[in-house]
Amino acid sequence: MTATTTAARETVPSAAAIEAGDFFLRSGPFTTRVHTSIPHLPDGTAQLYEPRHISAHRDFADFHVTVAPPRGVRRWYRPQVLFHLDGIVPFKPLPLLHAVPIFEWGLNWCIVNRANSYLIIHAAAIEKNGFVAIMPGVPGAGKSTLTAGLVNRGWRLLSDEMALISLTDGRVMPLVRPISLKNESIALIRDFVPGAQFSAACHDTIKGTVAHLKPPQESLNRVDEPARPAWIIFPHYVNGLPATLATYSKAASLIEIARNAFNYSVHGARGFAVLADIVESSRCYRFSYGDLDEAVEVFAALEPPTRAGA
Amino acid sequence: MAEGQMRATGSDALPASPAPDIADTVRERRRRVLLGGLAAAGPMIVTLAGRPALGATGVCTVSGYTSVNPSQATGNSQTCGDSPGCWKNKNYQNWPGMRQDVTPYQAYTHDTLLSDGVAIPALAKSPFSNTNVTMGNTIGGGGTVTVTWTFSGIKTTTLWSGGQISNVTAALLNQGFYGPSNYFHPSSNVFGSPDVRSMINSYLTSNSASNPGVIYYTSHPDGNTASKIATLMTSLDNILNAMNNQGELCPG
Amino acid sequence: MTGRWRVASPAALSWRSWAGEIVVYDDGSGDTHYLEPLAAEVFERLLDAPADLDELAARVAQSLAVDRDDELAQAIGAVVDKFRACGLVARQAAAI
Repeated sequence: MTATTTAARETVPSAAAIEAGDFFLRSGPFTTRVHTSIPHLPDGTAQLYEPRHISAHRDFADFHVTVAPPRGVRRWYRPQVLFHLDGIVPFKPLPLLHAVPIFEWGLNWCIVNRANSYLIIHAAAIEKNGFVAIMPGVPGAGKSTLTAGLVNRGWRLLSDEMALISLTDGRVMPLVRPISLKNESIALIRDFVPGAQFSAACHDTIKGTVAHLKPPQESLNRVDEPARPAWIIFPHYVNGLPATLATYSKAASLIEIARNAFNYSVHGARGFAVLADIVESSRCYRFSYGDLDEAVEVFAALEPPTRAGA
Repeated sequence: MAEGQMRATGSDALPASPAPDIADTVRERRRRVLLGGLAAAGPMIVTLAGRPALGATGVCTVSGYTSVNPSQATGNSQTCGDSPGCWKNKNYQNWPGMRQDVTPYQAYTHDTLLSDGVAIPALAKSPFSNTNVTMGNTIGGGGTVTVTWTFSGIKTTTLWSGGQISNVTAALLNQGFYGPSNYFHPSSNVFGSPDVRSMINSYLTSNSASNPGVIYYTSHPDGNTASKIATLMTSLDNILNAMNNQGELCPG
Repeated sequence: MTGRWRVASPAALSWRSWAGEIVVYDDGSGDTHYLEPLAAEVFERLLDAPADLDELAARVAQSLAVDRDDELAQAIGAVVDKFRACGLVARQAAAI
């Protein structure tokens, strides 16, 4: 699902378009047309995304999104914001100040529900030397914090929440969206990454305090470079636990990664084959950790599988 | 580590890969069998159930991607929502919309409204005592029409054995707890508010006012109440049954 | 559990085997199953040819070079029962 524009026709970011609240945002293979009357959404978006991925005009958009206050009393009283996709309102409203998170989560929802040309895994995906580590994660696994740390220590970000797998060749397509962090992780990553660019923190969300981290510039620059999976790593954060990497059976890894796929069932036998091939050619591990620096060391030492198989 | 694979020769057959290392396979299996795996301490087979596409609402995913802490998650939180029986047996603290900072638990009332004025139902107290449960629902723009769905003194067996009321209740609870209205959840298969609203509308306006404990509104803001009285109850039940995994046990 | 058992719809199945375990996808049900080693072994032996539980126990015992005892027979029976429940195997119609 790529925009039909070519590089020559991509327009430079239009400050006027952003200010007018009507702009196109490119993230990975998807283009979203955004209408919003909320000033801090374009500001927040401009902070978190690559300027040349925001523009006044594209020929095509995958999603048409409106982020706006609701009609009625909540436009003024304890004001709220709503996310609309093609006229559908999929979410309860959030406080107006949370426009950036609701946009980010809404865009996740769009992709998960519409982008069935990919096999989508609930996983982070990071790359180094042409090899991708896919990290499926249930809530509480610490996946986002781990990802935020690793992509600031030599790894390239493809995605922190949704690994897009090509059904034709099993490669992972970059999405490169802002990384959603919450509560203590925000301070942790601020320390870990001097100069990290965050959106304004939103407090009292259902997840606690939430802030979005802008991806590293190189990750944004390389959004058009898919890469091949080499590791499937199931992370698990436990405070105080030493970093431990344990081999996980491939059969178990296959069923677990399928369990973490959003649209595995849609793709049937093809989905099974694609995931099975990925498992076959990847090293599979469970990873427990309690300290980000230790985790970085373990990941730095990962060996890709040999050509003949893992 | 030598690894092997085998592929079925189905209609989408791919070329067979090199034969597995049979000796390794036998060795591994023999080892596991002799290690006392026969006592079946763990499951011999683990099944990841496939989910069919369900109409316009898309596919039921089995992936966990919920903002809700898993310790609070109800049974099939990753799938199509929970069955009425699952909700019935669940600790009511996990019902959406319950304030837990007061005792007895009370419902949030009109705390959130969507642009078309549909509120997530607020639930008061446990329905499994004989005290009242009120589901407040405002339908229509600007809060002009109010529906109150009250269960007064209905015994639990009555409440949950009736197919329609329990199914629609479960649909509301699923929508409030798992639905896309719950900050973020990818289960688009759970009916969104407009769908639930129209289902409730159909249910309410197609039932007689003699249904004990249920109060109906008399007009719909869209102005075409009559046209909305379609006899959908059978198909609604079927849809909800399928969506709510009727009869499935709640894991955990 | 008497009678002969067979793999229900082999044409609908795709599977992979690693280190004695198998993951099988059944296009008929849309289900994906992870089979622990004994279940994996039973599955493969039934793929060879249909069998009743006695024959199956004999094949498995021989293939894995383990004792053919009551415990094995019982475990195999449990596996076949689970296979039946999820539609992987079915009874073979008796020959006239």
